[in-house]
Amino acid sequence: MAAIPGRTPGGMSRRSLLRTSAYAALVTASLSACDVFSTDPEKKDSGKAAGAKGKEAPMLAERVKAGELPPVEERLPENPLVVTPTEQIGVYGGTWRTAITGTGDGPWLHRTIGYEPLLRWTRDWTGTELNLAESITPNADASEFTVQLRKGTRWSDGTPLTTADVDFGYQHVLLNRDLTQGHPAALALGEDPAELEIIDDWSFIVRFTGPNPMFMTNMARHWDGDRLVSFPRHYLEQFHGEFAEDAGSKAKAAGYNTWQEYFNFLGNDWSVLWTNPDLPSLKAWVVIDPIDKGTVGRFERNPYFFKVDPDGSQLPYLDEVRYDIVPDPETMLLRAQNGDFDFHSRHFNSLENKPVLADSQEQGNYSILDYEGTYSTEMLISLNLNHEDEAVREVYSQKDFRVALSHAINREELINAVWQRQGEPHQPAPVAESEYYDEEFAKQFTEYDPEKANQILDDLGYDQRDGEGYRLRPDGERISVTVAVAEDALVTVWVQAMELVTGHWEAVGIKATVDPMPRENFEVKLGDNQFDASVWIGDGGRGDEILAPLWYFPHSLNAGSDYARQWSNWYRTRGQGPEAETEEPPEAPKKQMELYDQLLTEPDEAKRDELFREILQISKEQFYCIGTVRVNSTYAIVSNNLKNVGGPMPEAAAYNTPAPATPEQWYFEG
Amino acid sequence: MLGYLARRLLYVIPTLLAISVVVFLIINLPPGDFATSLVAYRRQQGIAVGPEEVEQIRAAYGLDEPIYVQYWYWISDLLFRFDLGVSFEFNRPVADMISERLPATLLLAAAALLFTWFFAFPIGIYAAVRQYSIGDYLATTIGFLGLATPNFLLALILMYLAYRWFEYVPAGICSPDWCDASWNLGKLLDALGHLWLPVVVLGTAGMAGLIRILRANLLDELRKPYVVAARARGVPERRLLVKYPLRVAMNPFISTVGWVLPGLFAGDIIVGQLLGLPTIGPLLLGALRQQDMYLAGSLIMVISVLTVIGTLISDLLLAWTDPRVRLGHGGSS
Amino acid sequence: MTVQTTDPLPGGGGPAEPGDAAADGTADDGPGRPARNGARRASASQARLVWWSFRRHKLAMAGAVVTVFFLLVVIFAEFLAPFSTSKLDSDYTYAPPQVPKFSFSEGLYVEGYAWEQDEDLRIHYTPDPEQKISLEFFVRGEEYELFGLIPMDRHLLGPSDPDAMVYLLGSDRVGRDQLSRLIHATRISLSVGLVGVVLAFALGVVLGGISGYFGGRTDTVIQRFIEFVMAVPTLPLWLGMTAAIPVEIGPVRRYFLISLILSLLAWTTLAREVRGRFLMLRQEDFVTSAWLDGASRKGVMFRHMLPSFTSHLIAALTLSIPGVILAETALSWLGLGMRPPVVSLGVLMNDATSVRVIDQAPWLLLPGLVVVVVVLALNFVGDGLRDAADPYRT
Repeated sequence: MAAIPGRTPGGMSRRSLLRTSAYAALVTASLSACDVFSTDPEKKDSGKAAGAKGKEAPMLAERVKAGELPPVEERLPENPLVVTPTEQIGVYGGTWRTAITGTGDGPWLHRTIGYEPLLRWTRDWTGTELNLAESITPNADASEFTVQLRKGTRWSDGTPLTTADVDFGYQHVLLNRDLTQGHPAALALGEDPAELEIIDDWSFIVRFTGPNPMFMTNMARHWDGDRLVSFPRHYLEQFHGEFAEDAGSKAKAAGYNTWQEYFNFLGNDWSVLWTNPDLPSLKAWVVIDPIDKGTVGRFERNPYFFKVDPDGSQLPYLDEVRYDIVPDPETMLLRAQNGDFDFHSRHFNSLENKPVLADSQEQGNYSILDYEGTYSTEMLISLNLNHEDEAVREVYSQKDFRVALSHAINREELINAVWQRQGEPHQPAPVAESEYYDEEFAKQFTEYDPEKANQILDDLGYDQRDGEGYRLRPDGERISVTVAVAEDALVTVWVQAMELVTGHWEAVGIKATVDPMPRENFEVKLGDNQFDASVWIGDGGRGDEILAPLWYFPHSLNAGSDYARQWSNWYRTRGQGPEAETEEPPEAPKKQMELYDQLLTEPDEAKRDELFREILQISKEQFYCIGTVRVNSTYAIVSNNLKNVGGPMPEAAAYNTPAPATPEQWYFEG
Repeated sequence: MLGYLARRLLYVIPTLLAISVVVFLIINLPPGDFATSLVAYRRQQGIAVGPEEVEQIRAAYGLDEPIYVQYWYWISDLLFRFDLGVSFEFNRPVADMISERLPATLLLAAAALLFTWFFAFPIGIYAAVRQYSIGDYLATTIGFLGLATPNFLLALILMYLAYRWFEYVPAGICSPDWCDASWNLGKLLDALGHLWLPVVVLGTAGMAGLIRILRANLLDELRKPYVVAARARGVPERRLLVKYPLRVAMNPFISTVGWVLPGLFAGDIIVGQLLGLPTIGPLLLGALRQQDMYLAGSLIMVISVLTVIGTLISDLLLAWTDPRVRLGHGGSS
Repeated sequence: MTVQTTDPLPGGGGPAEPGDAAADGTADDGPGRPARNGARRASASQARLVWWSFRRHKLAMAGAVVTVFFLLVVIFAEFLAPFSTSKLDSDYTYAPPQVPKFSFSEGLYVEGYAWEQDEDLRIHYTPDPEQKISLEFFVRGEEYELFGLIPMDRHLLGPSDPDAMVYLLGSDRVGRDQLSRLIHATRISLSVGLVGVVLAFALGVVLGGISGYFGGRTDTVIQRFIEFVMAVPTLPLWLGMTAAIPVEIGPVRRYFLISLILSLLAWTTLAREVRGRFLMLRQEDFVTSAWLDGASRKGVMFRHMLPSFTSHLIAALTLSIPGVILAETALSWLGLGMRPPVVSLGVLMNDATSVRVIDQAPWLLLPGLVVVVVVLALNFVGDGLRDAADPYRT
């Protein structure tokens, strides 16, 4: 029998064994693996390296023996990256089973197998460490960075990675406006693209027009950090119109109108890593069964992966990663309970589902691993300070109005009813674990005090009420807030929570309505500035305070800070954007923008720190948006057989959870 | 007969054309277009997209053209080159995507249809022969239970029960151990262990309607003079039933195929989405949500064509078995 | 009368449409039932005859009783529900149903909950005999306007203390009373069904009538049109149209539009039905007499022909309501039907479609049962009506 029970976690659990033997009892047929009457899944040999581990996975050793691959020493770089295991040195073999909702679920793929930038986050997210780069050396004023690649690093087809690939990727893909829309922000300073200078086969210089101290941090960010090493020239140039004359006809033959379309489909799209099996890659696992066909995506170990464990054995330990396509989160939850996934932390890992998942830990042979929340608040309410209607804008723009609304929210009730009695009231401010924590900022205006709220609103001159008891503006119009909520976005409980909050606001005489809508409509509405208020999650709580400052001042991250899209656009376009979409901000946010610009070009870390604190101080005074509850709301489920995952880790999009926990050194025990 | 066929075929063409127009309009009805979906998706990834880029995307996909121009691109490719277009979201030819999923869809539809027939037939006959008996009431109630329970709820509950009692989740079409395995008896059993769920959910939804029709038709037939006469002559009840009335009452089984199909496809949208089946339904739902025009439009056209063909076949079968239909006695005697 | 077999099962899909054309035959009382009291029958009005016949159909009677009950719920929802849909006590999330008890000292009461939360966040509730929440009939509670007109604050049954919460059917995930939500949801869903079907009815009767009465080319055109509408896959159509409803319009208008959209696709069944009837009646003697008597076309159609098959129409009507209710449910599940804060059965069932509910709060599946009961009741009524529609037949 090919499958060895207990050896491959994907193979046989106790239950599937039982089930299989039930089938076997049903059919008294011969049990040879090749027999059509067999009732055993005929699996590929996943290796029997229980004893000495060796320098490479048994499946690769066999291919070496068969002459299909060069020996492992020739496949590794001269100076491979040595990964220290989280707990202990592992063994080869096994399949990591996980799931995605569909091809639109790219983030989970990027988070699990797509994170190989030049630098990478340390596991505790306090800094960066070397990854694909052997070194990055800034010059004195941090305007020039010399990057040294690991000599002998190879693409997954065995071709060496050299600066020719970097040059091709930068000059002919990233700078080609027909292929790449907009310049990657990390490779530019303001509006000026960086200059690339090739030194030799393994080293190059990235040069900016001025100091860019954030470059190092950016090179550890997913997507930003691997842009320069994502385009295998030897493969892609066959489809590039500037290199191959027949690129156009190839595209036509494949059903595309232009070579650009076809090129992007093959090598310059967000999803190429899992849709194009021919694309050479540098990741630990490469696609063998694309996810856009069928109901499963499969990835196999990259025989040329550039990392080793302390014994010098090539990583990854796990043979395969497979993603079942499960469009419905509830179905995914049931399958998780059943033990169908080895590591997963998406879609169903809500507090609401925790009791259910905790209940079946034994049956499913998994444990729950709590994540450390990095968000300052699970639900952040932005009143539109750039409202189209002058009169409405005047109301929303008063800080005291926002303070009153904040006091009117019964956060205890939210905690009980929506967040399963977990968490604490919190404003959009750095959290306790952050070096920028300021308790006053985090807790200001969070106590539930409807009387105070009423008092403030009366004092603002909104003491007149209409027949239904709602407060009126001085001009006699009713004050109302319609809150746009993306119902299918990151947090699924927003609609519920906002229903409660609108109740609280109505209690102090503010007419409030929840407007749940699909995420697309939400984006359109905010983009067109046709909204009163909106709801999102509080980025920048810890770890990404500087990277994601959009709740501290109008910043252009995502599509801009929701409370002031127009000011954000103004900042992004330096006031040059179309009038309909930009607006010059008042003094305070403008000051913050200046400080942030300074920060971006300040080489001295202590000074940067100080500048950021100054920005935070202003946002504390301005109180742009209203926070609700901070809670550690997510967790992962981890198979009891999967080792080296380690303890709690931060959860944040910028951190790319769980990639910094280095899945390439995870392994299955027993 | 040939004239009838020609007449019917002639109606098919304008019907399909009209459907294509309506479908295209409907897809474009919701606010926004694929570019906005794409922007939303990008934002989810934390990638900033400016208004200029949105315009660029729009131009790249031809979304900046008037809607009738977009329609013309689509329909002319479809008509003259049999080209279903390229999916915006997947960046792949729609035809490929459909051909990957069509077999499973048809298999599921056929299985559900057979399931419906298999149970509706005896229940319907029993309910007619023993009209107003407890059995009649019971059969009717059970039939309606399937119809009245929303598909998504029924599927989730069945899935939950399977997980609790049999310790596996019958989602998808195979369990992880078997998906990559080559076909053998075990894989077949595994597939059956998954397929029963969508078949039951889809099948029960359509059962009640069929039971009702069969019952009503059979009751009418049984009351006809020829049956009464046969009974008077002492023909045994069983033969009496099987000889003619049943054959006539069977007609709805043929004639409903065309109208049951769209119901099955619609059910597939929900059940397929919940269970993650490799069928057309979930693909269509995604395409509609993303406003992936060509994909959604072409998928709906394929479903419509299948429906129209199904109807055509069932009409032809009917015309073949029942001369009254053929001669165009549309109404009644 | 013959079986009209060309009329296929209508209701080109959606989440299954139970209504089938009456044209495919009317089930009757079974062969050989002797006529009761011939003289009385001969002189009775049609309505009375139908009623007599209907009464014999036990299941239909039961269905009628249930239907009337639900209609009462629709009309008096605010009075029957102990609370509004949004009132909650966040201390009791996913609390199980409380059983009303009676004692002579306390009167009618329920026991409050004692609860503790385990480390997996699950909350365990146990009845606490120490806490007695007394209940009263016609109790004062939240204010509302009956029929949108009469201000009232009396509720059929509720806690004596207006601030207390009572969960006779358990609570939902934020601590709202499931009974109250169920009652309000039933109102919304049934009235969407009714409004939708009435609109469909109007369309169906007019188009079907024209088609059936005039016949010929008109008939062909309308028939082709109906076939075309039926061939368009319904669910995508609904999806597209409901997604196109502007988000900023209020819940009331949204509700009306959804009814309208659902009806737009439900009328075909009725149109076919009406047409079949007209075709049949065209040759009847009384129509010819009316015609010879100089009645106008319109007069003949609407004064003479239509009334003669009213009960068939009502039957078809009752049979198509469930389809609309189920369609609304499916749309809600796909996130395109009614939206919170409006509660419909679809919204409730959508909330209940979660493993947490099935596993730990099964009482929240009750809306599913309500749909089943409503659909069954309406179908039985429809069946009974149809069977009774030809009272002279034996």
